[in-house]
This record gives sequence, C-alpha cells and structure tokens, in this order.
Amino acid sequence: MKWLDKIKNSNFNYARNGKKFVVAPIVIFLIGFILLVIPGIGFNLGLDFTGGAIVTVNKTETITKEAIQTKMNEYAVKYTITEEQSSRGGTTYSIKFNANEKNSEIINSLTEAYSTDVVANDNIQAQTSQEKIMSVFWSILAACIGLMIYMLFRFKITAGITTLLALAHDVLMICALMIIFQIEINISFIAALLTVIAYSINNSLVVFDRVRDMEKHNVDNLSLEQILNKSINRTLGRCILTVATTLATLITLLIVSLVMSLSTLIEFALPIIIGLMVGTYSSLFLIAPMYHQFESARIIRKQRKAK
Amino acid sequence: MQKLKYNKNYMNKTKAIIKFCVISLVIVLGMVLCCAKFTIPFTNTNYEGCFNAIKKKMGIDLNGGILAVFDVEAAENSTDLDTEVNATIKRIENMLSSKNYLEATVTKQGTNPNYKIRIEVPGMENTEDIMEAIGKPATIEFMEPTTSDNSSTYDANKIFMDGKGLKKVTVVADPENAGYYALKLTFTDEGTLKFRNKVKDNGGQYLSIFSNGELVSAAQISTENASTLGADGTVLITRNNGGYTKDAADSFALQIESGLYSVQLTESQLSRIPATLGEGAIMAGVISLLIGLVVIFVLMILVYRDFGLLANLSLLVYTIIFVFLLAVIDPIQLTLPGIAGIILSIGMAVDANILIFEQIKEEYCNGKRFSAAVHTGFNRSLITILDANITTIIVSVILYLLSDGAIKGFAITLALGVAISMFTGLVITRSLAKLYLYINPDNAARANIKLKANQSADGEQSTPKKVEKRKLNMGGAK
Repeated sequence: MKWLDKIKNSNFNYARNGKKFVVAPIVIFLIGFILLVIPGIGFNLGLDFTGGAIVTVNKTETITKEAIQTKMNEYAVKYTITEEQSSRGGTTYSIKFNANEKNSEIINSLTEAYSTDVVANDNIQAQTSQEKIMSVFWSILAACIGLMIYMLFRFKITAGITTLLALAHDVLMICALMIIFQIEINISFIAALLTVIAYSINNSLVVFDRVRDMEKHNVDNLSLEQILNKSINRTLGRCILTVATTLATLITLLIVSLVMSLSTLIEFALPIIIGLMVGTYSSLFLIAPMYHQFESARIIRKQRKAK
Repeated sequence: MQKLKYNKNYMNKTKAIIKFCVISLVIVLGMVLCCAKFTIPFTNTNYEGCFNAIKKKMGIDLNGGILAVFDVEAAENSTDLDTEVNATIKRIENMLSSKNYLEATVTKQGTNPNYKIRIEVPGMENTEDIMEAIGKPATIEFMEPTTSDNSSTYDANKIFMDGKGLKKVTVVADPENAGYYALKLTFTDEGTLKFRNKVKDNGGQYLSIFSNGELVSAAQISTENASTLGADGTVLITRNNGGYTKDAADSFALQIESGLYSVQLTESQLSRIPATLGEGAIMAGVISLLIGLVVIFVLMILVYRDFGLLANLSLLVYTIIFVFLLAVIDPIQLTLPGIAGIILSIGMAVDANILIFEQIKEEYCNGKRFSAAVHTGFNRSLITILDANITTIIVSVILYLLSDGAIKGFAITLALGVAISMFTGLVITRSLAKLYLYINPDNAARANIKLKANQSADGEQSTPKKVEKRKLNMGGAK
C-alpha cells in the first residue's frame, strides 16, 4: 500500500499546527449551538424522547399497513407502525406518532376513519424519561472518572486531561452535527454515543502509549514536538486501517438499512460513522497540540519551582 | 537484542505447514459447530447450534416479545395517583430485571386519572409468562395483637396496617431452621412506627399476618421481645412446620411484592409483537457483519500479505469464541446497543493485530532481523494492547454496574469482545506467528515489510551498518 507509506512519510508538524485544526471544530460547534438555541430547530428528537400518541387498530381487508401509511403521510408527522399478534386472536397495528398539539386532532380523525376497528387510543409517555437520560449521563461520567484514575497510574496527568478533552470534543461534535443535519435522535443514539466514546478513548491511548514509550527511550534527545509528531506518524497507518475496517461494517449496515428502509438502523449507523470520523480527526490533529501545550506549561512551571 | 534459537530437528517447514493445516481444520470445525444443528450420536440430546440459541436471546427490537397494557385503577384511599403510578412502574421494572428481563421497558400512557401502564418484554415467548413475572398480586395485612383463640380469625376491623407500610420483601435464610428460608419484611418509616405502637405493650399476645384474607402467620410476641421487635424496621416471617423451601419463599415474596403495587392493575391488552426495528433488522445486521468481516479479511491480506492471513485465522477464532459465548452466557440479551458493542469489539480485535504488525515493521526498519523483529514486535505492542483494552474494559464494567437495560447490553458485549480479542491477539496470533517463522524465518517481504531506499518516515536509527548486516542475513538464508 504505497499511499499509506506516502502519508506516513509526509513530515507534517502535528504538534505545531493546532490553531489551524481547532478552527473547523469551533465553527461546527458554534453553528450547532446557534441552531440549538434558535427555537424550533434544536435536536430532531424522535418518538422515544418526545412521547406522543398511540392508536391501535385491527387489521382488516381494507386496513393494511400500506393503507395506514398513506393515511399517516397526509398528516406530515413522524410515525411508526408495528404489527402485533393479540393473545385474543387477530392482528392489530399500533400507530405511534407525535404532532404535539395536533395529537388529539389526529386521534379523532383516525378514530373516525377506522371507527369500530380502533382498539384503543392514548397518549404515550416518552420511553426515555429525563431520569433515565440522567442515569446514562452519570454512568458515563463515572466511567470517565474510572478512566482518569487508570490513566493517572499509567500515564502523565496531562495525557489523561488531553484524552478527556478529546473525548469531550468528539461528543460535542457529534451532537452539533446531529443538529446541523437534523438527523432524528432515538434510543439508538445513546448506543452510538457510547460506541464513539469507547473508540475515542482507545484512539488517544494508542497515541499516548507511543509517546510514553518514546519519552522513556529518548536516546536521540528529541524534543517533545518531535516525539509527538513521530508518534502520530507511526500510529497513522494503524489509525487509518482500523477506521477503514470498522467503517466497512458500518457503511454496509447503513447501505443495507437504506435499501430495506429500516429507519432505526439508519439512525444508529449514521451517528457512529460521523463519530468515527470526528474521533479520528481529534486523535490525529488535536491530541498532539493539546498535549504539547499542557506539557510545555507543566515543564515551565516545574522549572520555575526549581528556581 | 533478543536471541532466538530454532531447533530445526524439532520443527521443520513441513511440520509447521501440517500444523497450519490442522489449525485451519479445527477452525473450520468450529465454524461448522456454530451453524450446525444435529442430534448428538448415541444420546438423545439435540445440539441446537449457536445461532438458534442467540436468536432466542435477541431483544424486542430484533426479535419481538410480549406487549402488555394494564388499566390503572386508583386504590380507594389514593391521594396522589401520579406518584403511585410511578412507584408501581418502578416496582414492575425492578421485578422484571430481577427475573433477568433486563431490556424490558415499562411506560405510562394516558392522562390522570385514566392512566395505563404499558410493558414491553423482549425475549418472552408466551403471553402467560408476563403474569408469572410480575406476579399475581396478593395483599398483606397485619392484625392487631389479640389472644391466641382469636388470632387465626380474620377481622377486618382489627387490621391496623397493610402493604403500604412495607418497603420491600426479601427472602433470607431461616436463622433457626437450617436449609430453609424466611421472608424478611422491611417497613417504611411510617410502617415501623405503626408496627412498634401495636407491639410494644402487647407482650404475650398474638400478632397475625394475613394474605388475601388467609392466615399466614400468627406468632406470640414474647414479653422480653416486645420492646425491641421490629425496632430496626424489619420483621421475619418463618413457618413453623418445616419452614419455607426456597421456591415457596420466592413465590410468596413475589406475591406480596406485587400486592404492594400502590394501584390496581387490570389487563387491557396482551399481545406478542414482532421486532420493533422492522422485520429485516437481523438480516441487515448479519449481512453487514459478514461483509464487514470479508472487507477486513481482504484489507488485511492486501496490507500485510502473509501476516494478514495469520490475522484472519486468529480473527476467525475470535468470531467462533464470541459466537459460542454469546450463545452460552445467560444474562446477555442481544439488542441494537449490543450489536454496537460487537461491531466495536471486532474493530478492536483487528486493531490488536494491526498494532502488532506495525510494531514488527518498525522493529525491522530499525535494523532487526525479521524473526527477531517479530518477537520484539509482539513484546513491545503487548503494553499498548493491554492499556487500550484494559481502559475499555474498565469503562464497560462501570457502565454495566451503573446503568440499566440497553446500556448493560452494550457494556457486556463490548467487555466480552475486548477480553476475547486480547486472547486472540496476544495468544493466538502470537503462536501462529511463531509457527509461521518456521516456514519463513527471514523473508520480510512476504509480510509486505520493505525497506525503502530512503529509509524513513522517521529517518533516524538506520545506519548503513545495520542495513548491511541485514542484507547479509537475508543472503545467508538463500
């Protein structure tokens, strides 16, 4: 693979070009933030988060999945239809949708249309309550603390902080991109986010492991900057290959679900694909300058103390 | 530099090739065992194959499950229906997860006062199972202390406390009757107070507990115990004649527990539902995992040639072990987040191999002989692999302990996958590479490792002297 070697041979100064590479994330973050604040845009939350209404109807000759779909498309709302086998015999369809104030209007209209075949209609609560999201948040935070403790034992504290910052960057970027592209967020997004977090940590660690190794055996008396650049250069091949192999699975998943129109799987694969790219970006272009800054500051402070 | 000896008598090229063939055969056998389905010879036991076992464990999103909707009816003396419904939901969630239905979702629908509780339980086969899991409710009532003669007759006027005074019911070992079990009732603060008030001045009297109007226990409060009984907020129910067996205690505890629902539930809908992700979801997942694996195989061979083959063999071992463990380990329930965990851990399994090969390449470029570079490469990448994987395991263990439902599924598959990938990367790939060195001890080009004329991404260390030395070695081999 010649191109791989070519990239590796480019003597690019990763540690010194931090300022250039911070621009893109900041711009994306700002656009995301502005869209979040503007009322009516924000995250494109799906039914799992918003809740909504549910109407259950019997399956008959005229009431088929396609018929319901045509009907629901008239209202221009997000909806899902699931088919159920009732224990009392017969098949029913559950139509879930959310149109905020218009919910009761749609319920009435559906009840009118399907009259006696309507089994039940109701409002539904969001599947993910505030409480559950918070519990996910706290467990992620606890996991980060665990990670930090491990890194304190194995690496310099600055490496730990850089890893966490890179992690924060990756998470923020995905959220911003989800807002910008208005990708619908459902429960599967939490799984995607966790995947990206694990991946991001893994990526940073491989780089820092290399840095630590070189700092230890620094026979050629290289500067921190040279060590960082070399570390990135040496992990570059691995980075690209690993991303390529993981992306292969995910992109196939995305294509297959697009073909089969499995919207939940699309909502799942897309954020992970975005997350992998964002994670690769941060581990290539952001980790080195951040660590360089922190370490130089730490060394200067140490020298001052010594005086 | 590490010195290596190869005992040519013990192992030669032919033997090594034969060994590779045997290993490949074992791997093929493992793959067949994953998919096959047969009756084990000479026995009547059916071997169902891993995929069937895994399919049974798939969550509601992939494989469907049971949906139950209950109408909520407020209790007579209900004060705050919202809190009561929420408490009931919490209680049902706990009961389902204690029965290993980790991915069950319990949600509220409707508005006050016409609430409904909707329960979705993935992996459950029959509609009857749900009633078994959340219990046929039993009431529990405490009757004022009375004389021995009256203690076994239910008297509604004398009931001073019901299930509302209880926080939880647990099954503990019977302290006086080895091998048997007792129910430990834990009171709420208010319940403790009520209980104490009735008991403390009534030493010698009989305290009875009824469940669904039937006598469960009528015990004499001994005079010396009256002042302390229930002071810690708990009381034990034991059975006199022989004590409770574990099963009896469990089912009784469940009955009481479900009697503690603050509201009354009546079934309104009970049905079996298909996969919520849509019918092709499993198909889509399997197709993309397979294509993903093929891409990985091809890419590894393109980039690392012979070493790529080794990595692919070890990746196959990884896949087989993973499939077997997914089928065998009980608390694993496979849902979308679980699949995310699998995809990620496959990536990390490949990553381990890539890290090793890159390190080998670097060692070789630094002037080591090919075989020595392989050995040092493995040794030096060990630390990187350990660090990267241990952190991932730490993160997933914390996630597993602190979160519930779907996230647990992610954490468990990720931790499992990473643990297996460490094994295959550090043990399997390593032994395969050692074996490979008997076939090809010094031709690095076959592992796509070449020195460039201008030796250097990193430039340093490759003094002309070292290059010359390497050339000599290679020449010797020819």
